Amino acid sequence: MAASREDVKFLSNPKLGLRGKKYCRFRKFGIKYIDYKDSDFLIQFINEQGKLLPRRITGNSLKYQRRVATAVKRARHLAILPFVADLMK
Amino acid sequence: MICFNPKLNLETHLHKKAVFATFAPVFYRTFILFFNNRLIMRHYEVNFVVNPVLSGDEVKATAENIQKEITGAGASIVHADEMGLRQLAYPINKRSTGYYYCIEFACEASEWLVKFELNLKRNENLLRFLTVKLDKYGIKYNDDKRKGLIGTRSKKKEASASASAPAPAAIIDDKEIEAVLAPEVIDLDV
Repeated sequence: MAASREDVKFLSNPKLGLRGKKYCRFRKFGIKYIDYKDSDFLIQFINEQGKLLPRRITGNSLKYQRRVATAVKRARHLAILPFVADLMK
Repeated sequence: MICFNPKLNLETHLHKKAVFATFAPVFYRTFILFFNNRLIMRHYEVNFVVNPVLSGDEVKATAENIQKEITGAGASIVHADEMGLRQLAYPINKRSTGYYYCIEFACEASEWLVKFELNLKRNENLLRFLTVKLDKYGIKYNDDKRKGLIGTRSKKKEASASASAPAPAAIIDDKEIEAVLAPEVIDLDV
């Protein structure tokens, strides 16, 4: 009698290894310009407190991470994005 | 194969030289024209936030004054975008809203921009301003945005999502209501 998958207990989460490799979305989809007025787009690159997310998490290449950073800073200056926030998302 | 005939080699060389000499002025002229057009015409974008306390006419007047200043300096306005009254992400001078404007313009000389920014700084009707130089991708992006090429895909997605969303949402709501109501009933019984 073969044990069904529900009976087997794993030491670690079996879905951990299934996640695909991170990639730079700007390089993959050919986005050349990051609009600093588009708050809905920029919100993907900041955390709940309004801080910039690291490259480690977003997977951006260095070139586009720098551009994202300038875009977010411009948006903050124009009060499109907050400098500090609580529970933004 | 290597050509061992010196006469032939010399002839071809002379021919190439002659062709280049006759067309050289044309080459240089096109080259200079190309770079003049590309290097001197620069696109900029100025964003400013107008104080919401002012009346609608005053807000429009300040925006028009700024546009006049831009055209007066010899720049041509590519597009003036009025984004309207928007919520600020944080309060500025105890105001929580502002009228957003974004004007894209092209000019050849850039010296006047220093003076222009100083005038914006002195303008008491403005809460914030930002002048940005656009690169070629930025110009293309703005152009595409005006044509409606950017953002159409996400809008379609949203439309399809909103069309399919209401029915499941209603079901979830019902379940939640039941779940909330059930414990109260039990409590009353006890």
